[in-house]
Amino acid sequence: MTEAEPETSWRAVTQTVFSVLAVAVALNFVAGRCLERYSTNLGYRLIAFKWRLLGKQDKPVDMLILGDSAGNQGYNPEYLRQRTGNTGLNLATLGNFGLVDDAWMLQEYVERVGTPKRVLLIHVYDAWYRRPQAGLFGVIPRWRAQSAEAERELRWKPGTRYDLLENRLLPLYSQRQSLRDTLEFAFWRVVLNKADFARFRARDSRFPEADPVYHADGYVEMCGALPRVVAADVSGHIRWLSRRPRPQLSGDNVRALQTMIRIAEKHDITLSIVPSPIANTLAARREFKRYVTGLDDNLRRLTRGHPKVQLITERFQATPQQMQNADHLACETVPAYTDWVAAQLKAADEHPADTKPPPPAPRPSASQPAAPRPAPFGPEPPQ
Amino acid sequence: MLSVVSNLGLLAYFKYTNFFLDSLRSAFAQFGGSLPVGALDIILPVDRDLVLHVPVAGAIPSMFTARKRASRNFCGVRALRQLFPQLVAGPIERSSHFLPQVENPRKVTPSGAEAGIFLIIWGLFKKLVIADNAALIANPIFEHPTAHGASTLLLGALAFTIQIYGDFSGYSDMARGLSKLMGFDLMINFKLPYFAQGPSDFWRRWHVSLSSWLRDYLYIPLGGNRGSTLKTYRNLFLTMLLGGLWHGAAWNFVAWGAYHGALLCGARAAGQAGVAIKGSGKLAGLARASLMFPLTVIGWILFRVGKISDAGTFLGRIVSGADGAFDKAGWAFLAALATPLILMQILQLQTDNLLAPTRFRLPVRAFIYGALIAATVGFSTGKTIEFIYFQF
Repeated sequence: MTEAEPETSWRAVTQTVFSVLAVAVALNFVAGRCLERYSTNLGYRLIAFKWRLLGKQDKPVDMLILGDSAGNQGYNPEYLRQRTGNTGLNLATLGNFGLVDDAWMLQEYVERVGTPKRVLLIHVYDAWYRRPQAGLFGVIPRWRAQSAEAERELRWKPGTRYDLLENRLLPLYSQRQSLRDTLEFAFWRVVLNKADFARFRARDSRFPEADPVYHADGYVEMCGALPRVVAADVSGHIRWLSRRPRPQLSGDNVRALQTMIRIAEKHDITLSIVPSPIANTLAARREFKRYVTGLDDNLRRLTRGHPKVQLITERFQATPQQMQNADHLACETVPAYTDWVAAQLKAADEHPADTKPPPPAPRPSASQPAAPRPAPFGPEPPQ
Repeated sequence: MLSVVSNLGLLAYFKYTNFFLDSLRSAFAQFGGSLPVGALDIILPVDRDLVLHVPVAGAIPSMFTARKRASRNFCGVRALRQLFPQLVAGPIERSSHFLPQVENPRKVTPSGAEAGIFLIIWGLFKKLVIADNAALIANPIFEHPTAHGASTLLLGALAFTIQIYGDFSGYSDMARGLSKLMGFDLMINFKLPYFAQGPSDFWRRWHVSLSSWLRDYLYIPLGGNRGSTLKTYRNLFLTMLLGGLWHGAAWNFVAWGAYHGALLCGARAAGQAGVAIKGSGKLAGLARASLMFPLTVIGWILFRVGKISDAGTFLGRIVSGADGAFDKAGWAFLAALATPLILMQILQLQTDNLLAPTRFRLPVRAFIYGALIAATVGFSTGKTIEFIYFQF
């Protein structure tokens, strides 16, 4: 066995190096596109799906649904259309964005598509506390999400923006684990028969237990109740709540909500803030009741005096047999929640809240100084 | 002589002192006694084996073969000793091959660079994709051999066979590729060993730098095949036994060396008795390779098991067809890992050129290299899995 080096020149070697780099860069972008559509990281996939869906819109819907993953899989616009004839678009993403991407999405929607009659904002109670998780912004397919403006507004640590650009531009490097999982997942799907594949994904926590179905109106259908997961998740919530006797809203969320209110008032949009569904086993707990009572008071103070804002404080409760975790419904219960929301909104329309001027906003959490700053989230959209 | 004694002395002290103390302690315990010496806290120097082997290789020629005087080029010997690409796991370079490259003006050639690029990319792929993923299959199986049936144990053995080749030859390729980019030419360490047609052919293809070292500095000085048949068998067996011990201070490595010694003796005896597969055609070659490959796999079981007793359990359960679930996913995964390796090796075998892909046209070459890079990123495990030969 021999080793015969090729007869070549430095020019040819240079060509090899640059050609290989070009192929690697091209494959990097192919990997990025694949991860947007097929990633086993459902969070990343959801963000890309919703933002691309927003980009495809050309005429306004009656109801725009924003919020977190509980809203994403909890509210079905098609069901709303069948019941009321109103059109809807579900752009809810993840709680780890807080309300920041809700505000951005509403701003883009109003600027580019038009004004919906109503914006439905569905969040799990603890999302109001969270600071937006910086890493996720790298997945938003908009340059704005990695801009100096966002860096300034969200007070990222030095270097975060470059990390986000890396996540945005170099998925082959930065999302290596997701890519591997996705390729592996596809491989098992091809290799194993249906029963073996189901067993395989059930025992490997990296892979979703069931395939989500992405609807054209943004609703992501996630079926199959997981009562054991609900029980574990409720315990996790109780632990979280026991460390936080007083509810707090992160400064980013307060500013984002104020931006949304301002846009709603400017464009005559009704902004309805609705709590996510919750497991009845969690809703019955003293820690939960105490926390959400305080949270509702804070939100009431923030929204009082804004007639275009409806704050719903009732909570839809479901049994663990109807849910996938403590605050996410299985698809089988989505019609019930959608009906419940419709009834709550109807009641709110018929009995509008008081319109007294608002008291001072509640203090944001310690990590977020509440210094007022001009024009958060960039300039207002044109009239 | 001073260099040989001092370097081998250091090697014996750092690597084998505790092994022999442990063995002595066990022997004493068998007879109800106890050895009044505990294990020594020996701090190992940086890469004791290769740093020590290389100067020994430089010193020995003047003692035994008179082919070359021992080098007095101190800087050259230091460079040979500590050339970073080969520091961890070889190839074990010869002074006669390397020192002239240091002493004479060094030239980085485009041909060498082109070959170096391929070797680095392919070596990385073999280590990070093939070997590390195969380790994910092999490790849990070797940890609990009694928990698995025959088919799964066979899967583990094959996975380790692929892992150790990908791991070690991947390192060698990267070392050689990096050296080529600096204008050095290190010796070829692997020549498609799993296509070997017999035990002696295997050692001409596997870890060539070590096996040729053992041949030149152990087997031949012992007398090689110049004496009686019995002495030749003794020399073969002793050489492999010591080769096994070089791999690690543990009995399973000694058993692995003894096994390969026995294979070499057996093959020689079969050849002399006229019972070997004869013929020079492709079919005869394939038959010989098909016979040698499972023998190699059995050797790797000895090499990989933690305790020598586990080897018996492992092999016994395979041979007896122990019951157990068929791990379809594991077999499919191993097949997927082995496929690029097999395809590349068939190409190398057909062209009789280990650098065959460097001869492709630019677009094909660029696509293969780019895909290998992307696959290395996408399919690597994300875990730190040390080179197997790092421990030696």
